[in-house]
Amino acid sequence: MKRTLFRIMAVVFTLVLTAGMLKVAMIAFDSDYKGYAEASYSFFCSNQEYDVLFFGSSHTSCGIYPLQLWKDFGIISYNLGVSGTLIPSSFHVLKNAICCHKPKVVFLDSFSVGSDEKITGGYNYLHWSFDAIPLTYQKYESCKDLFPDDFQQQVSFLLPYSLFHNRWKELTAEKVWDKFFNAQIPVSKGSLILTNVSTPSYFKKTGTLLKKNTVGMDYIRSFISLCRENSIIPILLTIPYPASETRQMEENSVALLSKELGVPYYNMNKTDVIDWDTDLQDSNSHLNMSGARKVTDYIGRLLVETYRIADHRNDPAYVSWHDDFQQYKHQIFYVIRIQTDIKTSLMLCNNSVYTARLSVKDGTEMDPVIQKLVAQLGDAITVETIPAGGESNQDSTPPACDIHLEVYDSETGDFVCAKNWDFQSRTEFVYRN
Amino acid sequence: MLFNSYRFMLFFPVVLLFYYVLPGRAKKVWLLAASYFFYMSWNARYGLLLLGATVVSYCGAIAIEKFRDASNRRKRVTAFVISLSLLFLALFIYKYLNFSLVVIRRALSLVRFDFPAVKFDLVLPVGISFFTFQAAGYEIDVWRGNIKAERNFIQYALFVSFFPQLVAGPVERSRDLLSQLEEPKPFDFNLAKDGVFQMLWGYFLKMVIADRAAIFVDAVYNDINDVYGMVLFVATILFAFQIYCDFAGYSTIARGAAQILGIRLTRNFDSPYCALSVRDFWRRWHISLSTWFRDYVYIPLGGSRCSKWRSSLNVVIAMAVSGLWHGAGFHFIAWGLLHGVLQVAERLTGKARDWLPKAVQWLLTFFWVCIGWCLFRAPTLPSGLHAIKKMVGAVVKGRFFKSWDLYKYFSINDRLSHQVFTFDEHDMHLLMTCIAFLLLVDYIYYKGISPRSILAKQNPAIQMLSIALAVTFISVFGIWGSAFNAASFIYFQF
Repeated sequence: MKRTLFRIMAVVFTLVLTAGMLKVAMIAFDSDYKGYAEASYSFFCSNQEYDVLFFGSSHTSCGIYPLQLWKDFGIISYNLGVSGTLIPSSFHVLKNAICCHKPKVVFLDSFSVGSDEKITGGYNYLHWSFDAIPLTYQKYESCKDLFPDDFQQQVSFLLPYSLFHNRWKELTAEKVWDKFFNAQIPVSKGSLILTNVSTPSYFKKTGTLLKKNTVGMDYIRSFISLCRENSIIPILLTIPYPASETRQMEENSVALLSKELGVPYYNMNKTDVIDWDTDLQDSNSHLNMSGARKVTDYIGRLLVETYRIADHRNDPAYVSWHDDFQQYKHQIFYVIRIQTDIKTSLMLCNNSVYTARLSVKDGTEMDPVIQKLVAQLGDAITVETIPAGGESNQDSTPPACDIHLEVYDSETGDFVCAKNWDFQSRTEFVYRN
Repeated sequence: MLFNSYRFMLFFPVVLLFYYVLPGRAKKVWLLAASYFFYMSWNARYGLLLLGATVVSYCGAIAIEKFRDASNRRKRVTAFVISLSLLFLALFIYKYLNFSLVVIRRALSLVRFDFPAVKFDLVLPVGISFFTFQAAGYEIDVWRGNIKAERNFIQYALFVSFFPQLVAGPVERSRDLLSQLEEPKPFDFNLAKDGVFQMLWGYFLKMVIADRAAIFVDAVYNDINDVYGMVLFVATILFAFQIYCDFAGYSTIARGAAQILGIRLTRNFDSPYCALSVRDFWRRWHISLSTWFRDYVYIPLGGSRCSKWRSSLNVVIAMAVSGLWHGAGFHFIAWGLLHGVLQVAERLTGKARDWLPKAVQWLLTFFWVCIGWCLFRAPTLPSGLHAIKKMVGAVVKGRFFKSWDLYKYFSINDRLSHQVFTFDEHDMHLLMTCIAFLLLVDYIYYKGISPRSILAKQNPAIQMLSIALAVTFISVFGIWGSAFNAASFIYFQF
């Protein structure tokens, strides 16, 4: 009897030890490339409720800042947009999200509604969103729907270790150490900061529709139905980007679909919310930080004025969001500190966390985009023209530099960074360290 | 289902649990049902084939035994011939029919007779060679009077279909397996623990070594005409370990799984790459099959109880048939013939060989075995011969390559899943380390020491830790799951 008991305990202990080692291996080998998955983990693991959720592709994740909504409007939101996500995948992210937190309002960006695919090729993008979702029956159902004929892929999403164990070749002791002891979950609530100023592509306007119904449109219908079943207000959105004719046809079709479904649709491509010269990360797709802030501000006003979303800035249940915002502010400070490009630096200054001072040597020509970037800062920037060969009123300006920028924390007045450039041409300024 | 599949990971524990919970007679029925479920998971129709082979050999053996007396000799022979013919007919149709038509066509073309190029679209049922030979061996044993015909159909059906050894052997003898199935044993903790160790060793061989080597070997052998001779040389050596670890891995998992169920299967591999001669190699490689050919082909042909030349011919014939068993192709027959000829040559030069240092004997044996593997792996006989010529030429001319030339062959595209399984320097280093470890373990076994027995005597904590570490090691370094491509996972890439 004693022997039997000992053997049972030995088996149980072996199973526990094996499970423990496998768990350690799973953590050690888990993807470094989670991107958004890391950001989404805090959504699926937190106990807080959210009033607003955002779904879609990289347009969403780069175009809406939940912590700005918090700071300016007190709105509790989360950005569950992920790069490369098509509408069907967004639907399944919503399905899994509402198992954890049921919001009042959800936004779905309509980009790629014209696709008949459920997933973009190279399933890594889907890992970025799905790896954060806990292993539940709903996740299993979602994987079955997204990969109906591919059991191997279903398993790789239900058990990411089946994919990531292959990473043994690239792991180093330092990376493993960081995984366990220096893991930092981003506080940005799912959003991403993009730091470039690009010239937009221009496309002819068109009013035509898509020629047929698509899988994307079917899943929009499913998305709306799911929201209504759960008493959630669905809103369709197109976050601004230079839309080609095909994409415009998609937007026109979404407009028609939204009328069919009785759902509000805000096509921000038909508004003047952003400035195409200053607010784009790339020529045909994503917003930079300046553009995202403007879109976020638009959405914030919409949520407060139309949907009466509550202000939680004084709500004790959300005290931690003040700390999150402070951490987020430090991340933003880091981003501007490492910039060397003048346009990017000025673009990043379009943020209520900063005030700035700009000293420009007389005779220094700036192209219209740079002028716009300065102009949009309004009262947040003080511009000083220094006579050539003269001295600045500011102590910190080195006399040989053509443009000098100083950035300060708008709340505390603390110095954030200073940057210097020398004029080469209207569009080219050489950064001086 | 494969042993290294998710389904088997669910299937086996369930089978095990119910096996030990159910009462005596029900255990056999449960195992039989599980075995058919296991086999039919590939294709449900295969179950009929297995059942057919079972019924034919069951009835045949009973008839052979029934007509044992001299007055019924004709009936006895008829029953024996018909049942064996029916057994091998299915194997012939699925495995050798198309090849036979090719041989007939080529033979007739020599006399300028144009035979139509007929080819049947037949998918070879998994394990048909194994269960056919197992059933045939049983019938021959009954014919010879070595065992009595089994009257319990359930028990006999289980003998033919026992799932751990059904699709990849060992080819069990009726006297060994049937008696064990008659009296299901109660759970034996130590036997089960040893079974777990065996299964883990089998998974290590299969998933870490064999499946990893296959990536490189397949890429090279799919491109024989364009690769360098030295690359072929490396691929052939890796294939030697791929086929060993694949086969031995499967057999070891089978033995381990059977042992957990309280059944001992034949040890199928006994440190074959420690052999000092080709004859010794065949005493250690796929032991169950080579002894089957010895007992049911070589000995009936006369064995060694005839003239030296006749005995040598018997060896060559038996090995040629063995080659044909492995596959329907001239390169398989050539592989078998090569081993037959080498064994004959060793018989003739035996005393001279003994003068050579053991290291040289080992090297010669391994060299010839690898030449044979080149023929075995190549898609056709001409390409196999071409590959050998290239390899030998490269080695003789000393054409060594820079290490990075080797790695351009290291990825193959899996078109079905759009994934790229890659093989790089890390894989090669890991493979070399694991192969070295394997050879060390095999050498220890060769010296008569059982590392498993040593492990079983250690402190329980060490044994538990060994199991946990083995599972973790295999899960990390084994080839399973989806292919990971770091390039497609670069952070934040649009």
